[in-house]
Amino acid sequence: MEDRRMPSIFPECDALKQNYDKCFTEFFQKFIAPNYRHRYADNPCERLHEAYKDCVEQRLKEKRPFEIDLNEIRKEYLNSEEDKLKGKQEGTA
Amino acid sequence: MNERFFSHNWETVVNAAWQKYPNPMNGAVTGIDVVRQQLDKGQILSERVIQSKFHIPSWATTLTGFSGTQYSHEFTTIDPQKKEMSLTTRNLNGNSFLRVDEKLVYKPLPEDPSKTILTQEAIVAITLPAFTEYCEKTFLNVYSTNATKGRRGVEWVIDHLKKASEDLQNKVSSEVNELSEKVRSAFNSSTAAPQCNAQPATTR
Repeated sequence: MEDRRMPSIFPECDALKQNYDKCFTEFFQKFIAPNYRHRYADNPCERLHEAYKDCVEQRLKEKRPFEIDLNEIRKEYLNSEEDKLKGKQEGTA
Repeated sequence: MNERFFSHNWETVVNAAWQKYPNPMNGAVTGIDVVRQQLDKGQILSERVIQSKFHIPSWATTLTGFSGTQYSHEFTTIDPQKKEMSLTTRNLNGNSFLRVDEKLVYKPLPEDPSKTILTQEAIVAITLPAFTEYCEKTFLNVYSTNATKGRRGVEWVIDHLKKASEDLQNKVSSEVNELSEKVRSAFNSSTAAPQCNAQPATTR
């Protein structure tokens, strides 16, 4: 299983990614189990993710491999989810 | 909209779908980064950037400026209480002429929860008029091939993970056997009331 790993887009961030992935995959397996206390869970890998994410975000800023701003997609996505929620509340969905 | 089935329960399929890459059916995916991952009201919300490399003809590069390295953004929510995993993917390059929004949802099959249903839908918007028809046909062709590849990829990962966990189970059960042997021999050699203080390692 250890040999199947997905590298980071940026080789400089790969070591940070592998650390984080290992942690989160373990947590994920516990989290999806039916008897897990989902609502009270904390992400045990948050610190590892911070370090890894900083590395990736910096590279994305420097190298700009795509023209789209991730924040725009984020906004659009969250809006459409909110619309759906509103629709449900108004009973129109 | 397209529906496919897996003859595995939701947890198994979702665990595989979560770590779907790399797999031999989707070799074009060359890198993934997790730009956001958080827990919210018992759900996992995750955003990933996926890098894929394709061989495309040079005339297409000239025409579109698209080099063959494609990035996409994937928004995933996993709700273990509702037993629903949904992934929304959009291309991050070439949006000026082509936009693909794909949505995948994994849920237990209502009439048989030991199985999992995957619904796939894609919305394609092309804004390069002269090539609309050509692009659409080519794209839809590629898309349906990729949809099949995606599902086969998840199936491959399920088998792969199953083998790994069988190995682990064999190992754990042989350790448990060994442990119970030790406990038994300890009891046999002792005249005191049997009382086991040694907690066996949790076999998770």
